[in-house]
Order: sequence, then structure tokens, then C-alpha cells
Amino acid sequence: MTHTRLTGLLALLAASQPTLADDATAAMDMVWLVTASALVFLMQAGFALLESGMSRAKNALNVVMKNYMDVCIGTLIFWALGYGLMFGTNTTGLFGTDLFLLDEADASTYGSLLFQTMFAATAVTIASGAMAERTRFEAYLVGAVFITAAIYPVFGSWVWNSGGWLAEMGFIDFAGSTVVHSVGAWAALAGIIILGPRLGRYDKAGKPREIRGHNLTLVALGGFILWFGWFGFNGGSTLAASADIGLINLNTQLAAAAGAAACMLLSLVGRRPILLTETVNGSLAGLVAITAGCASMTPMFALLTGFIGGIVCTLGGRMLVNLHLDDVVGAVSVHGFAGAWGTLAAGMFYAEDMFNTQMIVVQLVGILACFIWTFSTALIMYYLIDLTMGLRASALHEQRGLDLSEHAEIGYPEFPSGNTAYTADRAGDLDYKR
Amino acid sequence: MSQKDFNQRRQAIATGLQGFLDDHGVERALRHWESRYADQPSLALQRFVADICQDTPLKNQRAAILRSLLNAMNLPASQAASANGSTAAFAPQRQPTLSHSTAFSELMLALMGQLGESQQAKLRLDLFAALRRRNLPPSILDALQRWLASRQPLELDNAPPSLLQKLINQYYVLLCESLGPIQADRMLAAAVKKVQQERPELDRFLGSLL
Repeated sequence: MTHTRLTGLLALLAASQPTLADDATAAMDMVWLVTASALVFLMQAGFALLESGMSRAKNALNVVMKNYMDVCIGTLIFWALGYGLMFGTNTTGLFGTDLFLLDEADASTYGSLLFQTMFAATAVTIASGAMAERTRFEAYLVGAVFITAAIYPVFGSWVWNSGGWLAEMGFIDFAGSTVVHSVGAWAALAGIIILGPRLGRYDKAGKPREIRGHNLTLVALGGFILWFGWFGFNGGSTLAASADIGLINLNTQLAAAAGAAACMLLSLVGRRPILLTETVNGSLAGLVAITAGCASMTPMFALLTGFIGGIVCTLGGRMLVNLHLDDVVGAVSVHGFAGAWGTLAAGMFYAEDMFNTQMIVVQLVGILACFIWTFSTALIMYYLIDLTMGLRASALHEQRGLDLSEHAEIGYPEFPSGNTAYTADRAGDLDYKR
Repeated sequence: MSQKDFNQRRQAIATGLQGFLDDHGVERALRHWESRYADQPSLALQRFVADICQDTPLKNQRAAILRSLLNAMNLPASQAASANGSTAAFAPQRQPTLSHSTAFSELMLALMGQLGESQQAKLRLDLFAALRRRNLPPSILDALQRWLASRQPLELDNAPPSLLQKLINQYYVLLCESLGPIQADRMLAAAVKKVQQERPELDRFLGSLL
């Protein structure tokens, strides 16, 4: 009798062991995914600090508000519509058709939705810095809604949905150099084309005029926070607590450092001053560049990818300035040009099959598809917004600063600089009716 | 209606509001009209009526007030003035309008005073050109051009503050284009400070010009 019971117990234990192990693994995976989601969320703070610091004091609060509302509105819209379009059943290769307004699902889907929501918020907030200091708040938010609802998820579905046409071609974009960063950047490019440059950004001869940010310490702090958040962005894209995270985050670190070093060296070689803003952007360009291939490159090539990313970003930024495209924070060069380079590099430096021509061609097709889809839809969208509700703030609002004219608040009410006519005392007398 | 000058339209607004608001209310409404609607086409009267009825018990009388205003606007000038004896109390008050105009003039002079002679002359020409494009009422355009050309005392007592605000902004835009936005911000701040220090009695008018 005792022997039978013991045998039964042993059989039960043997049968339940895999289940327990599976549960523990699933829990570990979820803990990592949710932690990574939190790290990616923190990137919003990094964007807010960096973009605000690079803007003039009279527009600082407006930039932060745009970042804050991006994540709020982005979360709601992505839950309602974006997630379904991106990860729902995709039979046509173009977009998903279910999982909208997700309410009942398994635990892993909840985790995935949370993580992907942070990615959507990151993509949409890239445009805010480029379009800073002259965009109407409501008009910007309408654009952000459309990007989160359609532009980003549809392209995401082409790449990250197993039924997407680019996924089926074998396009590699592990954590989203193109899916997240280029999408945000090409939308930003469309935005700044429709908006035009800030008042006085170019003199009458067309020569660019520097409009310095108001707090470069915030820029550096924003850079550090973004870098920190990127460990969740790239590391979390494993979607599991996997041993691969070591290589992924080492590559992330190397590329970021190399991007900054490249910018610094470029300045030294060109006998130009080593600017903090350029250097921070260089590290971000390195991060953006390695995002596509961080899981499939060896550290040496990750370093090279970041290094070239930094150079591409600096030169691209100068090219935009010469084209009279006023990108306040350099978002198009950091996220667009470096993102495109990084996606190409992911195909070129694929560890198990280096310099495979077919893979490189697929990467180029993906980069081009992203540009055509995102830029054209965003251009039409911002054009229509401009036509119907007005995208650009009035000259009077630019004079007052968007903090006052859009929000009736001042970023630094206690610290009048003497450089503005709009002190906290004066602000009380102004008429803010829309 | 558009042919009527500022004073006639102001008188008509006062006449139209007589039956609905007390003297103090009419005066407040006139101030609001001056600052936001005086340079708008008559279609904007609807928004003006909506504004003044927002926080008052007049919400249900919006249509009647609008009708009354439109009637008063369509009266010949002489009838509008005599339609109600008490409208004389709401004749344009020279002091506040003059003060807006004076504050405008002082602020512009303080802005211009920060530039060298040649730069001043260049920007004055740019402002002339910008004013011509603005389709301003001829009397205001004449007065501004005389003032800009010869620094004669500025006589703009019939220009609404909202228009003066637009003119200052126009000059700010020109400063941004020729000197850059940082310099333009500094100059505007310095000009406001100068007016505050030298003519503190004008400070209360600066708010509606900035």
C-alpha cells in the first residue's frame, strides 16, 4: 500500500516538474518584459529633458507637454487601434485585422501590449523635438494621434507581424531602428517641411543662424536617461529573460560610446569646437543605429555601426541645415539617417552570414519602403492639418513663446532672465482666449 | 458697415447694448470689443455677443442682443448717437485710447532706439512695405507712415489695441529676420523695461500690446 502511494507521488512529481519549470520561466520572462517596458517608458523623460534643453526657455514647457501627452494619447490610441493593426491577424501582408480594444487575453499578450505601447510612444514623440518652438499644440497632437493609430502600426505590421510582407522577405530590424526610429524621423521630416523654419532661423541671405538651447545640462541629462532606457529598448526586445541580453546590451553600450566618440573626432579633424549637443546626439545616433542589429552582430561590428552612425548623424544634420530644414533637436539625422544606416548595417554585418548581397538588398527595400510610406502619409497628414486647423503657431505666439501662448504658463516663473518681455507678472495681464 | 469708422461703430455697439446691460456692463463690453473685435469684420459680432453673454444671465437673450446690435450698426450715424440719450456716456474715451496709442509709440521708439541709424532706416522701410501689405484703414496707415517718416507725434486714437499689437509683432518679425530671434527677444524685453521705467503710467496698457 505504502509502496503504491510512494510510486504515485513520484509519478505526480515527475509529471508536474515541467509545468513548474514552465511557470517559473514564463514569470521570469514577464518580469524582464515589464521591467524593460518601464525602462522604455523612462525614455520619454529623456526625450522631454533633451528636447526642452535644446529649445529656448520660452518654449521649454510646451516641449515637455508634447512629450507628456504623446505617451498619454499614444497609450490610449495604440490600445484601441494600433496594436490590432500591428499585431492582429495579418493575411494580406499589410496590416492586422483583430486584437483591437484588447480586453481579454492571456498574460503574455498583456505584457506584449504594454511593451509595444512604450515603443509606439517612443516613435511618436520623435517628431516633437524636430517641430519644436513653432507648432500649435492641438495640431501637433492630432498628428500624434494619426501616427500612433495608423502610420506606425501599419509599417510595424509589415516587419514585426509574422504575416507582414517585409517579415516574409527576411527583413531584419530586431528592436526597431527603422520600425520605431525611422518612422518617427520621417514623420518629423514631413512636419518640418510643412512648418517651415522658426522666425529668424535663416538670415535674408539664407545663411543659418544658431538658436541655442536654453539648458545644456538638461540635454546631457536627457542623453543619459535615453541611453539608460535603451537597455530596456534593445534588451527587452528579446521578449524573454534570455541569455542573449548580455550581448545585446553590450553592443548597445559600445555603439553609443562609439557614436559620441565619432562626433568628437569629426569635430577635431574639422577643427571645429566639440559641441555637447552634437556629442550627445552622436551617442544617440549610435544607439539608434545598433537597434536593428544589436542581437545579430559581434561587438566589433556593433562598435563600427555606432561609430559610422555618429558620423552619418553629424553630416546629415549639416545637410538639413543647408537645405533650410529647421530641425530643432536634430531628430531627423539622429533617428532617420542613423536609423537607416543601422538597418543597412544589420544586413551587412549579420554575424552568421556577413555581407550577403541578398540580405543587404532586402534591408534596402525595407528602408525605402519605410521612407515612402511614412514620409508620404505624414506629409499629406500635416498638410491637411495645416489646411484645416493650422499647424504653425502665429507670429505673435512665437514672439510670446509657446509656453505662454499655448498653455498660459511659464517654464521658469521665478527666474526672469531679463531676455524676455513676458515675465510671470506680465503674463497675468495677457489675453489667452483661443 | 465697413465704411463706418471706429468711433461710429463703437457708438453703435453702445446703442445696441443699452437695453440689456447697465452702464458698467456696457463699458466693460465696449472695452472687450475694442481689444478683440474692433478690427474684425461685422460677422465677428456673433462671437462678440457669445463672449459677453458667457457668464451673465443674458445667455437666453443672445439672439435678441445680436439683432439689436445689427440694427444699431445699420442706423445712420446721427440716429445711432441720438437713439438713446445715455450713449453719450460711452463716447470713445480719449484717455484710454490715447494711452494705448502712446504706449505703442513709446514701445516702438524704444525698440528702434536700440538700432544704429542705418539699420533703423532699413527696418523702417521694411515696416512701410509690410504696412502696405496689411490693408490697414487709410487713416491709420497715413498716421503710421507720417510717424515713421518724420517722428511726428503719433495720432492713432482710433486704432484698436489688437491692431497695435499686430503692428508691434510685425516689427518683431522684421527684427527676427534681420538680427535673429534671440536678439529680437532681448530688444523687446529691453524696450518694455525702458517704457516701464520712464513712463510707468503706461504700464497698464502694455499688456494688451504684447
